[in-house]
Amino acid sequence: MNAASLNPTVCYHCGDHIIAKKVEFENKLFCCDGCKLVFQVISSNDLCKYYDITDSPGVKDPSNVIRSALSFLDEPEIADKFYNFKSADLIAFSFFIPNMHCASCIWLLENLNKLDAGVLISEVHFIKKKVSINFDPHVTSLRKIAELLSFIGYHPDLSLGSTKTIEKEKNYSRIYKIGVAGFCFGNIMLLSFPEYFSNQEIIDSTLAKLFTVLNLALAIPVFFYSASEFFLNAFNSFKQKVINMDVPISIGILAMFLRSIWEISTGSGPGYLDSMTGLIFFMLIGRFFQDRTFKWLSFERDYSSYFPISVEKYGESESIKSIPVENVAINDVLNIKNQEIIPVDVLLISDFANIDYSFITGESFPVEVKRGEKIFAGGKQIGTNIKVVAQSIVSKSYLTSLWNKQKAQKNISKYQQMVHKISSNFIIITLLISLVSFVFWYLNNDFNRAINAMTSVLVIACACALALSAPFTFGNILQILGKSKMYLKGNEVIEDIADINHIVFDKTGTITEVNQTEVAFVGELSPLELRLVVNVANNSNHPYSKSIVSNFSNLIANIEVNDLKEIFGNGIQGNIHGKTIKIGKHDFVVKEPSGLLPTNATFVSIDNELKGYFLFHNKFRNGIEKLFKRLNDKKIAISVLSGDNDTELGSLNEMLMGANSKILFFQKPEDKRSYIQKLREKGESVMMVGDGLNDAGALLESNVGIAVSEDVNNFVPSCDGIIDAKALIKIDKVITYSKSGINIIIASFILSLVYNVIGIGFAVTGNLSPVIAAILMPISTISLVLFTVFLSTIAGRKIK
Amino acid sequence: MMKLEHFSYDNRIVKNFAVATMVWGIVGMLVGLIAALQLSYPALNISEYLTFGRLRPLHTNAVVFAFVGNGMFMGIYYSLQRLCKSRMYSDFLSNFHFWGWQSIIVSAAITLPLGITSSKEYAELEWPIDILIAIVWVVFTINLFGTILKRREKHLYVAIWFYIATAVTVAILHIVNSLAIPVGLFKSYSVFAGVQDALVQWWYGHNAVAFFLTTPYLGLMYYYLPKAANRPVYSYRLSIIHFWALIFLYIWAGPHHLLYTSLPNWAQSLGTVFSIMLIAPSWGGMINGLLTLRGAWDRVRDDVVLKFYVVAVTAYGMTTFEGPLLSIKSVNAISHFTDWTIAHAHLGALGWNGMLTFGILYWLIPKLFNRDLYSRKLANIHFWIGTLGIIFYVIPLYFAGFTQSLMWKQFTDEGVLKYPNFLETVIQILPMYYWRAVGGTLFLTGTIIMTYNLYKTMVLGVFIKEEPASAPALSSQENHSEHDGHWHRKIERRPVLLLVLCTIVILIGGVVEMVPTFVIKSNVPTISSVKPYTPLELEGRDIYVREGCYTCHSQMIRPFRSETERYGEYSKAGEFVYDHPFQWGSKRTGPDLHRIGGKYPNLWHYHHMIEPSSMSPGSIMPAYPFLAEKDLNTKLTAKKIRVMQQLGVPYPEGFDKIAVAELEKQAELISKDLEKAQIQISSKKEMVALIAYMQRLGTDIKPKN
Amino acid sequence: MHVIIVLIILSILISGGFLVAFIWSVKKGQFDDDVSPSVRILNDKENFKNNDSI
Repeated sequence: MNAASLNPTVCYHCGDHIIAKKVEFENKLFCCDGCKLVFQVISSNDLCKYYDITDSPGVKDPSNVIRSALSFLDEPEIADKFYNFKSADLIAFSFFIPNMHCASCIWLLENLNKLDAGVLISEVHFIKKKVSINFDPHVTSLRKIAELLSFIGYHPDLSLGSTKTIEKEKNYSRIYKIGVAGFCFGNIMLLSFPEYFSNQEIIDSTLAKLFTVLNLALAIPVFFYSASEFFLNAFNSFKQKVINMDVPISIGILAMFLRSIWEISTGSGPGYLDSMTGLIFFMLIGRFFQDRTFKWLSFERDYSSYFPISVEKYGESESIKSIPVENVAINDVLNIKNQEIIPVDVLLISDFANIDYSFITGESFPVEVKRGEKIFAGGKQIGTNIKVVAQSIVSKSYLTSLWNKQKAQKNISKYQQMVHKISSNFIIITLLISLVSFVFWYLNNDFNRAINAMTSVLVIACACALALSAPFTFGNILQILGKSKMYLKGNEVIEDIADINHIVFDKTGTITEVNQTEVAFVGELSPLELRLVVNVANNSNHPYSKSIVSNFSNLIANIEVNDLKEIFGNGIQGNIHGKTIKIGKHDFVVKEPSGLLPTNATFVSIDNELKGYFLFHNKFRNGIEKLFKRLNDKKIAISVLSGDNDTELGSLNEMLMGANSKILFFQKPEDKRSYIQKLREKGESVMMVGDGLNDAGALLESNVGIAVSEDVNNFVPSCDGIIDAKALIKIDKVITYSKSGINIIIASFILSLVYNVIGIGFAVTGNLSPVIAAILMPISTISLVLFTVFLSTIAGRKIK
Repeated sequence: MMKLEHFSYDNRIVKNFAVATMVWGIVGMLVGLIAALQLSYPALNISEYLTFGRLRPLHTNAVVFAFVGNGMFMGIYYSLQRLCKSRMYSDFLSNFHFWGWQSIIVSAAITLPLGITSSKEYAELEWPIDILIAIVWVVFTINLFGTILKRREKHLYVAIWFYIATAVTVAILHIVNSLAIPVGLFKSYSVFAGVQDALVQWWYGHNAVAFFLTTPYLGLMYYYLPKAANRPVYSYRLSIIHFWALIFLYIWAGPHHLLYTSLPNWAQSLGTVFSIMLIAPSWGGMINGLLTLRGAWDRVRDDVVLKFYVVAVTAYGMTTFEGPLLSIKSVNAISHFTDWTIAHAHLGALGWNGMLTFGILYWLIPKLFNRDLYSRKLANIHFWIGTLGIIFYVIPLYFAGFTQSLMWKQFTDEGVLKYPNFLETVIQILPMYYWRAVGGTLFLTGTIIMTYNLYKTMVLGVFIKEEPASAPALSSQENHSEHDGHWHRKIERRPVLLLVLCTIVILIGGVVEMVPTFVIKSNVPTISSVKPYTPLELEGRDIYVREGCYTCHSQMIRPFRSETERYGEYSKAGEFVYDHPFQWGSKRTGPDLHRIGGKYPNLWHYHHMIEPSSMSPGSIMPAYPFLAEKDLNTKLTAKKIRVMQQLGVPYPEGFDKIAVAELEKQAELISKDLEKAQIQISSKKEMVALIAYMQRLGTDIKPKN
Repeated sequence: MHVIIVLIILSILISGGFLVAFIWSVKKGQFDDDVSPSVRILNDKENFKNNDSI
C-alpha cells in the first residue's frame, strides 16, 4: 500500500489535488484522464514499482503535445543530429529530460524497453537529467521513443540547442588534490601523534626519525601537487601587478615547507608538515565547496534553446517536408503550425495570422497580422497553420541579433575591491613583521633565532581567514539560497548583489502571473446569459476565450452548442437554445466599427444585440506590493519596464508609491537594454529581474541579471541567477542576505587577526614550537570555518 | 558493434554457502551455549577435550568464520553477480573457495578441542590451517576481482567497494598476524614477542572486527536493505562518503584494545582518537540505512525481513557508539577484562551480524527456490525470540561487568580491598551467567526455527540452479552511450584496476619479507633480570597455551592501586620479551596470574589443578586431573629451544642439546617437593611442567622468597 | 617497538592502495552520478528480455 492510494484527495499518478471531476480506476483516484491513461500503460506493463519507490511520482502533463508535432523526427536529416552512433541495427542517442525529478523517474526511464521492445539500453544520468538510449531501428524509431517519453510525461528537450550537447571535459583535478592532501594529512597527523602525546616519555629515537622522514615523504606530493593551484594563482596575480589572497598563502606554505625540511635535515625538530598539509587540505575543501554549482541548471542559454529544431518547408508541388532550422534560406516558403514558434523573420502569405509575441515583447495578448506584413522571429502562431516566406536566416533574425551584442563589462563591486585591499595590506604587514623580527634577532646576532622568527611569522600568518572563511561563507550561502529555489551562478554574484541599489523589473510574466488574467465584464448580462457565453467561449483556443473560461470555470457545463464558427482573428460564435452568441471584435459581434472603446476588450452580443465587453487585466503576483514597499524602505530604486500597453499604469502606480520608482510601457527589448545602460552610466549598480527572451539583452546589460521562471527547468535567458517565480517576492531578502554574508566574512577576518596576533606573538620571539603551531592552526582554521558556516546559516533563516 | 550477451547467474554456490551458514550457525551457537553453561555448572567440563578453555575458541571461531563468514560469502556471491551483471569469474574458484572454507572450519572443529592452538584470539588456528586460509582467501579475492573485471555494468555499486576492502585487508591482516615459525606440524611460535605480539594481535583483532564483521556486512546492507524495502538507499552520496571515511579511519583503531597495558602512551591515545572519530562514519551508515525505510515503515510492520534489518542496523548503531565509548581510557578502566566487553561483542555479533544474516536468508532462499517462504508465522516467532534473546543476553552481562569491576576496585575505609578474594566477585555475578545462558538458548532456538522454516521452503520449492540473464558487453555499451565514447576507454579501465591490485600484491609480498628483520632486531631484553624460560617452564607454558587458560586468566596487571593491591607490582613491557606468543588475555573470569609465581606452594597448585573447589570452594574453574596422568612429551623440546634461539631468545649456544636433561632436573625438584606432602607424582607428568611455569610467572623482577 | 614500524608502513601502504583506487574511480567518473546507481540495483529483470543478440 502507499500513501497516495489511501489519500482520497490526491492523484495517484501525479499527486496533484483532485479538484473538479475525479477519475477512478482500479480503486485508485486520478486528477485527469491523462494521468489515468499513463497509469494504465505503466501498470499493464507491470512497472507498478514506479509507484512504490516514491509516492505519486508522475508528471502532470500541462502542454499536451500533439503527436503529429514530432513527425519531423522521422526526417533522417533531423534525427541524425541526435545520434551519437548509428549502424544498420543499432542507434545510440541521448535526450535531455528537464522534468526528471526522482528515483521513480530513473527507474521508469531505465525500464523503457518494457514499454518499447526496440529499446536495448536506457541509462539515466540523473545529475545531467540525461537519458542515453540504444535502440534497434528495425523495431522502433527516434520518433516513437520521443512520443513514448512525452506520453508518459517526460518531454525530451527537442529545441534547436538540444542537439549541440557541449560535453565539457570533466576536470577532477581538484578532487584528486583533495584526496591526496587528505590522505597525506591523515597519515602525517598519525605519525605526529607521538610528538603530541609522548609527554616526557621518550619515544624510541629510530621511530622518531622514521616518523619525520615518512612525514616529509608524505608532504612532498601535497606541496608540489595539491598546493600547486595556490602557487599558480599567486604567480599570475604578480604578473597582473595585483596581490590576491593566494600570495600570502603561497608564501606561508613555502615558509612552512622549507622550514620543515631544514628542521628535519638538521634534526633540530619535526617541522610544521602536519599544519601545512592540514591547512592545504582545508583550503582545498573550502574552494571545492564554493565551486559546487547547480550542475543541472544552465545559466548560459541562447536563442537556440527556444527555437524548434525543425520547420516545415514547402517543396515544389506543395509537398511539405521538415528541414532543420539552420537550413532555412531566404525566400523559403514555410508552413507554421498552431503553437509553433517562428524561427526566422518572415512575411505572411496566408490571409492573416494571430501572433503571440509575449516571448519577445512581453505583450501578453496576440496581435493580428495581415497578408504581406512582417512577422518577427520568436513570434508564436495561434490558430490554423499559416504559410510564410523567410526573410532572414535563423542566425540573422532581429531576435537573435539581441544576443550577438557583447555582454557589458562588469565593474568590480566595492566588496571585491575591499577584499583585494585587505589582502594586499595583510601581506605587506606580515612581510614587514617577519622582516623586522629577522633584523631584530640578527642585530642581537642570533642568526638561528632570526631565521626562526621570520619563518614562523609567515607560517602563522598563512592561516588567514579570507582564504577559508570566504569560500565557506559563499558556498554555504549559495546552498541555502538554492534550498529556497534561488540559484546563483557563483560566489562573485553574491558580492555583486550586496552592492545593488536599483532593481529593474520586467512586468509581464515577472511581477504578473503568467497564465492568469483578471477578467471583468462591463455591461448587462444575466447569470444565465453569462453561463451561455462562457460555454461558447469554452470552444475556442484563443487566449481571451481561455481566460474568460478560466475565470468563470464554475459555469462550465456540457451544454449542446450548435453551428459553432470560429473566425481566427475575429471571434467565435455559436447557438445555444436558439440564441446566437458572438464573442470577439466589435465589428464581428455587431456589424459596425467600434467607437471610443478600450482596445484590449472583447465584445459580446446575443442575437446581434451588443451586451457589453470583457476587460482583461494582468494579475499581479501576490506579495509584489509588499516587496515594493520593503524595497522602498531599503531605499532601493525600482523601475518597471513593460512591453505591454499601459492599461495597468494606474494599478502599478499605487503599488509603488516610492518616490524613486519609474514605470515605462511599450518597451521593446532594445529599449530595456538601453534603459539599464543609462542607469549604469549614472553609476548605479542595477539588478534586472525578467523572464522571457524579451529581457535577455537587459539581463546581460545589468550588474546582476536574475531570470524568473515558473519552473527552473524551463528555459530562461542567459543570466547570473535563476529564481523560482514563487521565490521572487523574497528578492529583497537575498540582497540583505548577501550583505550580511560580506559582513560575516569581515567579522571572521577580524577573528583570525586575533589568532594571528597570538601566533605572531610567539613567532617574533622565535620560539613558536611545532606543537603550538599544530594546535593553533587547526583551532583557528576549524573554528573559523564553523564560525562562518554557523553565522551564514543563521542569517539564512530569514530567507525561508 | 554491440552484442547482447546471454549468460546465467550461478545460484548453486549461493545455496551452498546459505546451507553452510545455517548449519554452522547452529553449531557455533550451540558450542557457545555449552561454554556459557560451563561457567554456571563447572561439572559440564566433562572431558579434557571439552573444557571451557578449549570450547571458547571453538565457539568464537565457529561463529565468526563459519557462521558470519559463510553468511558473508553467501551474500557476496549473490549480490556481486547481479551488481556486475555477470556470472562469477570462475566456477572452479567458487567451488574451491566453498569446499576450501568448509574444510578449514572442519579442521578447526577438530584441532581446537585437541588443544592445537596458537592462543591468539580469533586466530587460534595453527600454521598449516593458517596457510590453507591464506590460499582460500586469495582464491576468493581473485574470483572477486575477476568478476569485477568482466562486469557488464559500468558503475561499481558501493557494496562492491565494501567487498573489495574486505578481501584485500583481511588477506593482509591474516598473513601478518599469523607469521610464526613452526616447531612441529601442530605447534609454532609467533615471530613476535610480548608487547609487539600483543600490538600485532590487536591490530589484527580490531581490524578483523572491522573488515570481517563490519565492512562486508555494510556492503550487504547497502544491497539487501534497498532490495527488500524496494526503494533506493536514502542517500547514495552519503554511502560513498561512508565507505571512504571508514576505510581511512579503521586501519588505525587497533591499539585501543591495549589501553592501560604496556603499550606506549601515544600509541594508546592514537587508538582512542581514531576510534572516537569512527563514530561519524559508522552513524552515517546507520542513519542512511534506517532512513532508507522512511515512508516504508508501514511495510516494515508486515515484512519480517525488514524487521530483521531494522534490528540489525540499530544494533550496529549501538555497537559502534559503544565501541568508541569503551576506547576512552576512563571507561576502559572499568570495562576492560570484564563481561562488559563480552556483552559489547555479542551485541555486534547477535544483533548486527546475526539479524542481518537472518534477514538475508529469509529474503534469499525463497528467491533461489522460486517459492514463498514456508511460514511467515514461524519467521515472526523467530524474529521476536531472537530479539528477546539478544536482550536477555546483553543486559545481564552489562550488569555483571559493571558489578564485578566495581567490586574489584572497592576499598574499605581502612584502605584495603573490600573483596580481596577474587572468587567473591565471581560468585556475585553467577546469576547473571544463568540469564545470559537463557538469552543464548532463546537465540539458538530462533536459529533452529529459521533453519526448519527455510528447509521446508527449500524442499517445497524448485531450486533455480542457473538464473538466465542477458546484458550487452560493457565495451559495446561504452562505445555508444557515451558522447565521447572512445574505444580505448575499455582498455584503459583494466590496467588501472590491475595497478591497484598490483600495489596490494606487492605490498603483501614486501611486508612478508620485511617482518623478520624487524622482529629479530626488536627482541633485545630491556630488563637485565628478565631471563628466558627454562625448558620445563617453556613446556609448562605450552600446556597453559594448549588448555586456553588465557580465555579466563589475564597476565597483565594494570597500574591501578586496585590491581597492584590485589595482584602485586604492575606489569612492565620488558617482562614479556620472551613470550612467544603473549598471554595477556582479554577477560578475567579468574584472577590475573602475572604475579602468581611463588604466591602459593606447589602443593596448592597440585590440588587446585586436580579439583579447584578443594582449594577455593565455589570456584567455577574446570578440573584438570588428567594433567597428573599424562606424560609430558619432550620430543620437541630441543626443537623448541632452537626455534626460540632463531627468534632471538638468548639461550646459550648448544643449549638445545642439554635442554631435556635440564628439564628433567627441574622436574625432579618439584616432584620431590610434592613428595614431602605425601603426593606421589612422577616428574614426567604434565602437571609438573605447568606448576613450574606457574611458579616462574612474574618472578623476574620480584625478589623470590 | 619496531613492529610498529611494520604496522605503520603496512597501514600507509594499504590506505595508499585505496587512495589509488579512489583516484581511479573518480577518474572513471564512477561518482559523477550519485543518484541513479542506487535505483539501478532495483532492476532485477534485465532490461533486455525478449529481444535477441543484435
